[in-house]
Amino acid sequence: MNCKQILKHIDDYQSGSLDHILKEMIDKHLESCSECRKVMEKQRSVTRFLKTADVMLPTASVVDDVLKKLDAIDRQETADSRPETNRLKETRTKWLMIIAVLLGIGLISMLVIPFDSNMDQHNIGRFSGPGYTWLGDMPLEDPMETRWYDPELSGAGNRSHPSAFAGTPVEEIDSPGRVTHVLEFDSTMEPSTGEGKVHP
Amino acid sequence: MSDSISVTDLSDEALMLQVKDGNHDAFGELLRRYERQLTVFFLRQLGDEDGARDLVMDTFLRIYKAAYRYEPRAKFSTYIYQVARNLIINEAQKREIRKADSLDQMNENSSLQLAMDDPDPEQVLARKEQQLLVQKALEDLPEDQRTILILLEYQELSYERVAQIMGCSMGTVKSRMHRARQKVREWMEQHEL
Repeated sequence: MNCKQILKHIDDYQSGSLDHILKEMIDKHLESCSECRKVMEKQRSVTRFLKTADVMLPTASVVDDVLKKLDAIDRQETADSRPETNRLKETRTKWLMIIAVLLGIGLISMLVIPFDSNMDQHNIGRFSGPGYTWLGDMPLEDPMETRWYDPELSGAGNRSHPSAFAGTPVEEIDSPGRVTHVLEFDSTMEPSTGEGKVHP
Repeated sequence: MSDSISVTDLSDEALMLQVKDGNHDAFGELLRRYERQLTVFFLRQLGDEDGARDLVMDTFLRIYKAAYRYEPRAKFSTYIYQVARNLIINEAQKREIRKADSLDQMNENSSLQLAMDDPDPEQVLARKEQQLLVQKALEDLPEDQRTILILLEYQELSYERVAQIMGCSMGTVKSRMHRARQKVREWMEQHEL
């Protein structure tokens, strides 16, 4: 082993990270080479210098202080998350209230606002259809140009099925106040077609 | 984890996984295992006891706050020194403009500490001077060389571990260590030591 090879391994030799075969070879070389011994001695002096002055460790431990800080952090995080939960609850309640109000308005609308469709009375019931509400008894306007008209039962009673008035002469009108035909109710008469005996 | 297994029996990595699940006792055990090593690391870097203590606490607090994303890919000791090194780089930048002040403060702190531990005034003075010399020699090194020297000489970590901490190859660590020792030797010659 020559001096160049020794210098290449001098740091590892100093740090003790060399395998024992290489270390023995360097030891052998150092016995006979004064130049390499000088270099090695300088290396050792650096290590001695660095290690002579031990740092003075603080007497107080940081462990308790750190653990106290961790508790404070955890408490803070819990405190921070609580208003967030409250805000979420408030938002949820607000939206539930809005939905409830909208549903309420929808329900009331269904009950009081008349239909505006061409539903067949036969299909949906006797007291419902165009011009009627879900309540079935409050036509707010005349939905049909032709309707059964009974001077005796004018008004609210006029919504009954024509068969209820069989034998009773009634007038047919095509607009309010103008009588076009006078009909006599027949129990077989279909209200949707308006067919029946016509008396001139 | 079974209650019969004490935290002292667990590896660092297993403890960190417990910390991740909110176990303060596991973190306390990690604190006790690494407090001394980290204190020495920061004291050698700064030479300032108060600063070192603050940075030890900062290191542990950072690790605690980041515990939720901890994955045991590497050794915990590598991870903790990486955090410590980042902190020391930030601290060095902060202190650069007030370097002289911090050195004066270090002198006062060191003398107080030595005076409490060692009643012999002559020994106190000698050790204080020696400590200051070492500190000044280390301060003259670039940060990466100083950190490598501290990790290898004082923390007695392996080249491989230091390479992981520094994020470079083992060859780079060896060459930087060689340069660091050379500079310290030159500094010693300049000061006739």
